[in-house]
Amino acid sequence: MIEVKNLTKEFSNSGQQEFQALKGVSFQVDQGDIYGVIGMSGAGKSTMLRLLGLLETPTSGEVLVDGKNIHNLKGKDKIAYYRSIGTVFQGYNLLMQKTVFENVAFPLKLSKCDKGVIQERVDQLLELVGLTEKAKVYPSTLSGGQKQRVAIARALANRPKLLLCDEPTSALDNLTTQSILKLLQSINQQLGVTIVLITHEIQVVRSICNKVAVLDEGVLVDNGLVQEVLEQQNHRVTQALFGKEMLA
Amino acid sequence: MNFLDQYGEMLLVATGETLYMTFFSALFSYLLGLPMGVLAYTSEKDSIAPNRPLNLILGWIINIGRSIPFMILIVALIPLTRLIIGKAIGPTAAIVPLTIGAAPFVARMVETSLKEIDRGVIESARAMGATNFQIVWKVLLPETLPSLLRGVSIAAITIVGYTAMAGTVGGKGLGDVAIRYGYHRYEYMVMLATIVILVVLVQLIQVVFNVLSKRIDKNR
Repeated sequence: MIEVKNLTKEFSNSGQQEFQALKGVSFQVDQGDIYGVIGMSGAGKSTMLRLLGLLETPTSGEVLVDGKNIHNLKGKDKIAYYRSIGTVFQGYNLLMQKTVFENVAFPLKLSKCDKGVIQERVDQLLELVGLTEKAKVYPSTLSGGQKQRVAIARALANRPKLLLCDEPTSALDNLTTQSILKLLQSINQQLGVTIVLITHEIQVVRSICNKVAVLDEGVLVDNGLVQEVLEQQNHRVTQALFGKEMLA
Repeated sequence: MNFLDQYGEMLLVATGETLYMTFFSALFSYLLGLPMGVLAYTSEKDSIAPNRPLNLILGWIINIGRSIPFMILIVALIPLTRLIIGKAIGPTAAIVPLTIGAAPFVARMVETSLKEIDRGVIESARAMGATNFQIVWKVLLPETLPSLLRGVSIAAITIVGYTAMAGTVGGKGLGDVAIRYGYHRYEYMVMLATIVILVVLVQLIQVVFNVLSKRIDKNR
């Protein structure tokens, strides 16, 4: 479904040396995967996801989604791609002056859906994330976990085939993290949505991902089925990330 | 003779003129300044539609407009005022320099309000497939509305101050009364009355917009 080929991203701070956030990364995500991308801070995880989400342009290499290089998309095709995926951010990024209902309805309004269609779809999504009774409240009154549920419902509004999650649980406590992860898992299983998830937490990978890629300083050092990567521990960073957990 | 009998009607008319100038100048300066402020924000580097030349030109216009003292602007704009209104004196004529004097100020304030929004929110709208136009209309302006409204009160109060200056060069209103009676005729009571009315006006504007801004702000 997604093929990442030799992807490189450099950032140049004016005058200063160029910084390579990603150095020739390649991997593949299949339909139905929950693909975890793990690494320490500054490993290039977020840049990776931003490239998949078309929020950044690569310096070289390509991202093929269903065989198409997404970074060649222009105008309407680009908008169509945005509408075919959903993105969930660590900071929720909800519209604070709009109700929960309006937030979830927002992507549908952008694509000019009918009022009746919007009502039905939003009700359905709020039920899915368990926030039916919060439809009329404003986000400032919600807890972190509830805000992330709204963000997930919103990301699913356009029935995406792919959901990109950037550290979706990093701002949440343990219990809330578990419930959000369960929600993502059921979305994957029931709706058949492929998920790519960025995280620095091993538990997240362990509990819901079937595949994982380990990034270290912009280099992909390990990837494959979670089970195998865990057993083999090929790279020191994999060991550092997963080994610690074994001791704990 | 009682003070109100003697000056009441004149003060009332002058207050009406001041309100008239303030209202229409605020309205027109937003019609000009709001799009300028939005464009100044969106054309900035790293914003939704970076455009360096446009950003520089807008920056110049705004800064030049804000650095010309308003008294000088009124005089300098007399030909333009004649062209638009047909004469250069009176409250209606004063609206031209008032609008042009306040628009750059409004633009800068709109830009500052828009900068309050979290960049992540704009980015997520982009990721949902919003066009630039949709980002402006459906995200930037509604999300910053409480702050924009507080800006309107500051702009309106500034314009009230400007109308007093416009009054001294034929714009009528409370400024005109204060100069003619208080300054030229040493009738301090009249001057004092205009000051009281202006203070009350400013307070009213401030309170109304603060309450409005608080009432619509759902992010508290």
